[in-house]
Amino acid sequence: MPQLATQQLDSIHSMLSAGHRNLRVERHSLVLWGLSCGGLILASSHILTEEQLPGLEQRAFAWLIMLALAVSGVATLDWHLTRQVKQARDEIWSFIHKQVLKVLWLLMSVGVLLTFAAFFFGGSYLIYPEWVVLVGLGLYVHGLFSEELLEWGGALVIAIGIGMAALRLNYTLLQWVAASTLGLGLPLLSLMLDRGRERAPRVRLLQSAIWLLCVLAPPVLAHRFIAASAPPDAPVVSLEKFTRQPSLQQVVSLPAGTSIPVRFDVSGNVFRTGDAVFPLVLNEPVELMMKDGKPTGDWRKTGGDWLLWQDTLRVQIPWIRADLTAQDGAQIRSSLVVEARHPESDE
Amino acid sequence: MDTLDPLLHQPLRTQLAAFLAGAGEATFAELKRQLDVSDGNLDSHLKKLIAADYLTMRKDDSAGRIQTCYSLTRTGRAALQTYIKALQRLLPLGDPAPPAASARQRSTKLQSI
Repeated sequence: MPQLATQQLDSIHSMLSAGHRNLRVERHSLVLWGLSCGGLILASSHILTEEQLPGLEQRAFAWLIMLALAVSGVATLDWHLTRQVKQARDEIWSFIHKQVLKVLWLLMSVGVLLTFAAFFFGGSYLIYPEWVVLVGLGLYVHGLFSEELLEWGGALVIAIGIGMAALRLNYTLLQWVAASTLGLGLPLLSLMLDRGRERAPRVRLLQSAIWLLCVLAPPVLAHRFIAASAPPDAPVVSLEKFTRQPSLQQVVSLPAGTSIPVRFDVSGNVFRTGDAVFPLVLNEPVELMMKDGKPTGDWRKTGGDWLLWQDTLRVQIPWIRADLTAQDGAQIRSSLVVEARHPESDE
Repeated sequence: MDTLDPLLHQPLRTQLAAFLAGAGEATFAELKRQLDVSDGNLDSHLKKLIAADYLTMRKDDSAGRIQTCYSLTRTGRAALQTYIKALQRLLPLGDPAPPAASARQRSTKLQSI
């Protein structure tokens, strides 16, 4: 009799767990959300740029509208496709499924609003990690009521998002890792779904390791390959020679002590509008690659390796405050930190 | 010794009640897929549980066509709880054998139904 009781209790426990986790994420949902988020992240540096829309507010609202349309479009398409699949399987939308879907839409809306807010309040470096973490949260919440694998996947995506910011990856690598995590990782996760089967932790760990490798290897390797490719050789000229005689391709050498003015375009209704110039002085000699009279973005310390400045230069303004003292009168004080970091130290 | 509810003390009906206790509500097709039984077999067990007021059914037309959804009634949920407690009392106390120990651990989780 005790053995029968054990069998019955095991059976009840198993069915109860199946009932608690009876949601199913559809494969098309992961593919749709993954490809659209990954595609948008990759395209983000080419669409609605500062060159295309110079006004900050204009650009912020254009992004808001585009993201809202993209997210609502994907959500609607996903809802219709899921409804069709459910009809074909004679299933209904359960109460929990509707609530989980609302949580996902809410998280995507938070992503849209955070992106919009970054235009006015800063923090654009965190936009990609934020999107990755938000999508990861959506997967994790869905996984709590559906498949264990999705729960693991969600946790991994969240960890990647946090890791991207914590490791202070350079902006290009940040963009590529985010695009790969969502654009490649979610469709891959859809292929790995096992319809709620219970697996040993070591199987899940192995699946996680393979998934991480497939998702992180392409962007990291591509970035290393591009970073390792040096620009073609070109004659090194001084700044004076460059200003007199710019050629098709040349390297301009700036010696230590060179004054580099920072020009502020002052606007608003407190100060006189116009240009304000603030000189910075180079601490050590650097060389810049020029093509058709314009910088290519490649730079190096004299004798060092070529680097891309968007990957290696960090500019921070930690604080700015107005002051009025008897000695100095009225002034605005601020802190400016400009750091050059070698990409190898980031990865 | 406790008497076990004869209606729930049948493997398929136990599974049916346990699944609905976790899921809340399910269609005929979902139950059939989950339990892997024939239409006729499932239908006969559902009818018995409905007749005892353990299950209730409703028609749902939100998906564009009418589907029948089943859920546990308050009576059915209470009967399942009583049935689980009766099973737990049948387990020997302090049994060192791993399966029984695992069943006892699981039975603790089942209290939350």
